[in-house]
Amino acid sequence: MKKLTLAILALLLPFLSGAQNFDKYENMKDVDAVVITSKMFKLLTKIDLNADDPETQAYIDLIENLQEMRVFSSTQENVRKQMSADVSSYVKKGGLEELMRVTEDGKTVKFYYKPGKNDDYVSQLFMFMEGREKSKPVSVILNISGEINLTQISKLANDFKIPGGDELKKVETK
Amino acid sequence: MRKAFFTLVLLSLGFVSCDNETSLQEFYVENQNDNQYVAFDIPASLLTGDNSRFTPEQKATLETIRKVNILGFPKKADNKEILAQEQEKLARILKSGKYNLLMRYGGGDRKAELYFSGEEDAIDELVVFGADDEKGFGIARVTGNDMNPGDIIKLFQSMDKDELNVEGLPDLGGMFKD
Repeated sequence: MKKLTLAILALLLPFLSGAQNFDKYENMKDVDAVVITSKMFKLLTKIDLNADDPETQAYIDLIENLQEMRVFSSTQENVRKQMSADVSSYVKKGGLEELMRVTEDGKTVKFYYKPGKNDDYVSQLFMFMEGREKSKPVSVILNISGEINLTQISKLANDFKIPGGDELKKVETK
Repeated sequence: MRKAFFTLVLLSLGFVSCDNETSLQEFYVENQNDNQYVAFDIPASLLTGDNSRFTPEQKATLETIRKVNILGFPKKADNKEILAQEQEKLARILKSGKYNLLMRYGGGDRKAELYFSGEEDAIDELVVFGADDEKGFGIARVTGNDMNPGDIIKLFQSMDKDELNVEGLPDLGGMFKD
C-alpha cells in the first residue's frame, strides 16, 4: 500500500510542480489574466499579412512557432508580493537563465529564458516587471513558450496590446 | 489510506463519465425556450438583404456565415444557483475537445473566452463566451461554411468602428439590463 502511495505521488508530482506555473493566478479576482494559444497564433498568420516581404515572412515564422503566451498582471499589494516570491523560486527551480535586466523610471524588468535550438532561438521567454501604471504599482508576469526567435520577438509588442508588451521591444539578441 | 485510494478512483470515474456530453447545438436547442435565457437568432440573410449597406467584400464574407446565435443568461436575485449550474454545463461543453481555445481573458468580475472549430483557414464555428459576476453569462456562436478567419476578423473590426450599422439587429447591450 505504501509503495502504491509513493507511486501515485511520483505520478502526481510533475503535475503539482506544474501548478507552480502560475496557474493559480488565472482565477484570482485581483489579477488580469490573458492566455493566447498556438491556435490563435496560427490564425493570426492568416490575416492580412503579405508573405512576399521577407521581413513579414520572418514574423510569420515567429508567430507560427509560438506555443502559448500567458500574461498575469495585478495592482494589489498582497498579490504582487506573492508574484515576486513565486517568480524568484520559479526562476531558481526551473533552470531559467537570465537574459537581461532593465531598470528605469522606477521600473524593473527582468527577462529569463530557456535555451532553444541555437543562439537566436529560445524555447521559453519569461518576463517579470514591477513598475507603475497610471500611478498605481503594478506587477506583470509574461510567459511565452514555443520556438522563439529573439530577433523577431520585439515585433510582437505591436500586435498585442497587453500589459508589459512594450517591454518586449527591449529584447535584443545576445 | 484505502479511503484516499477510493476517492481517487471515484474522481477518475467522474472524469470518464463526463464523456457523454451534449453538443453546443443541443445546449442551444434545449435552452432557447427556457425563460431564464434570452435568445437571439440572426440569420445571415437578414444582414445581406438588398438594402443593407455592405461593401461587396463584406457581403462575400457574410455569405460564408450561416447564422449567429446568441444565448444570454442574465443574473437575477433568485437564480444564482441555476446560473452556476448552467454556466458549469456550458463550460464542460466548451472544454470537451471539439472546440479549440484561441484566447482567454479573466480579470476582476469578468471572464471571456474565444473558441473555434474546424480548420485554421476554414472555420465552421466561432464561439465567444463571456461571463460577468454581476450580470450573468452569455454565449455567441457564429456558424458557417469554411469561414476565412482573416475576413471574419476584418468584418468584426469594421463593426467595432461603427462603420457597420445593422438595422434590425437587437440591442445586445440592453439584453443584460433588468
